[in-house]
Amino acid sequence: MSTRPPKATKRKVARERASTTKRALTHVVLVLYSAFAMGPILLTLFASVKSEPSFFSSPASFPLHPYFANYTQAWDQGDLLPAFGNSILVTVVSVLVSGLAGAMAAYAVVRLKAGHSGIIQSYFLLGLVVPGVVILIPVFILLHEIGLVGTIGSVILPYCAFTIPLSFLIFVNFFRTVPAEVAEAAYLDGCSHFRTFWTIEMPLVRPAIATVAILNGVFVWNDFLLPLVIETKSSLYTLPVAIVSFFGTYSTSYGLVFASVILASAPMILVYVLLNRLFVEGITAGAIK
Amino acid sequence: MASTMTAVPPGAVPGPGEAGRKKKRRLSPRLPAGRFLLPAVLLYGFVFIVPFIGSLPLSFSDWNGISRFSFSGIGNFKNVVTSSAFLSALEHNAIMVGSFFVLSNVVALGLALLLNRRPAGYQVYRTLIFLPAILSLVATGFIWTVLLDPQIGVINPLLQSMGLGFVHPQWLASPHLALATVVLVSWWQWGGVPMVIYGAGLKSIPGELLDAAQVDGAIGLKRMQYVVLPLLRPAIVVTTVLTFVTAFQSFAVVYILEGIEGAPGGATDVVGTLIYRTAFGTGAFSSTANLGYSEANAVGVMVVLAVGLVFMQLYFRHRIVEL
Repeated sequence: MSTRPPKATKRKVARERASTTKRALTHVVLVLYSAFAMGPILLTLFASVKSEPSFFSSPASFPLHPYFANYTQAWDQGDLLPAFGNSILVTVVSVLVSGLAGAMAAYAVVRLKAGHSGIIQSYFLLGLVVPGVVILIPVFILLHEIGLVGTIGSVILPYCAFTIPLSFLIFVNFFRTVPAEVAEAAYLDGCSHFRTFWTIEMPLVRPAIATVAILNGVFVWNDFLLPLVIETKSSLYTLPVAIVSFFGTYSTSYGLVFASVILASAPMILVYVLLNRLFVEGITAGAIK
Repeated sequence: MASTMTAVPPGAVPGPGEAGRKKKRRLSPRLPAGRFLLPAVLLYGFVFIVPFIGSLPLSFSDWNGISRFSFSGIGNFKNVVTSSAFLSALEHNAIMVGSFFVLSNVVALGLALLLNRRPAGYQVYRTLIFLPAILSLVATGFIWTVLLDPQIGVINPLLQSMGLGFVHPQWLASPHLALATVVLVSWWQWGGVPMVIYGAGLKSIPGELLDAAQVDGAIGLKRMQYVVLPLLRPAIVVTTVLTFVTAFQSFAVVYILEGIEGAPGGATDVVGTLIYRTAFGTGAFSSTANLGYSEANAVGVMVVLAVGLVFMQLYFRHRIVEL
């Protein structure tokens, strides 16, 4: 603006200089906190490709001569292949089952006008506030009673159930954003209730499906407490328990332990990097709507 | 942004024009809501609600999992409320709640405010800062066990290289420092969650509102106090509840860093490790196991949680500003 008097220009320059300092400070703080968040992960990555002597001589340095044998050794000796298999099976089945069951229940409450919806919501909400350790023993006794202990079903069944509350609440939030007229039109055109739900409404709440899959997937993949009690034999170990048991055996072979930690975390990190926005939105979708 | 987590009565809000007219052709006179509800209600009821309620009588017994079941009255509860182990574990959880609350509303909110200025590459910052939140607590525990180890670790040599070698903190072994270390490590893993929740809350504040506030003379801290914070209430409520629940879930980090006993000398014992240890003993089904007493501890924790959540509900109920 050429017509501005010089006094205002001077003020503008001062303000710009102040905002430059502000911007620089913003970056400094963010860089420092990012270093705090990422530093330990990078050091783990470095340590995972160091031989034992080179780790002890300089644990934090950048590995100039990466030693990848840790990975093959951890994979073989830690029995990580069956643990990966178990983790994938348990995570996929429980995410699918609880996603479908939770979505149907949410659909019943939002669209099919189930009675007592307040009670239904409190019923599911209870599952989100009861700490895992409180429910652990009763669930173990139940699994024992129905003869599931010692099978992979003993891990799958509790996760299918424990992840239902979150699926339910998130789908309730998302179904509310879809106008009821959509389902009504489909129903009047002769679509059955289940087909309306499955082919019309579910595609409309695709972000909810992603959110539920991510939140429940991360929880099941990483959970440690439940499998610690329920996975009574090593053939049932999921990854967190497998690496803890591996750590018990090779507690001083840090390269090996860190290689196993990286291997167990890699799938989630990969999905996170690829679907980053969905993760961040997923965390908040359950909380704020 | 009308509601926080739940508590909005469900059912579609009538659209424009349909208020007065009685709807004849609603979905169908008899909706199959029951059939849609059944799988979730049954599965979750059978594996969660039934064991949860069924286990309550256990807390009135001294069953160890093997012996014959017999009731022993309210003795367990008397022991729980007078037990120093239970009270000190509870205190440690309370310290975690308090620390997480402060960290959430200072560090996480601060980071969210900085990111909300949309500096160049803010998405990269957010991705990196949030990354630990997707790591397992087991991985977190291992990483920090090694970093903090006074012999081989990384942190202490780093302090030494900065000329602070004389401090030489015993992060995990000093009774004064151990709980703070557990809190710090747990925060490292979890801190990204409140940050993105606050980020979403800030994003939902309309820019015109902030501009209007600026025109009215609310800038800097004033704008924060009178405009931003009140509008951020829903996010603050969610974060506070999450903080509370998460801090009571604490188990794996303590288990990996300090062992099931909550070393040193129980300084890091939390209700999670206490209940686990009481139920299963320090080894697998050892002689110290007492399922009945463990359940009484669990019930005690539930009571504390319920009181806390009800209190929060009452406190926050009238303090949410709606847009």
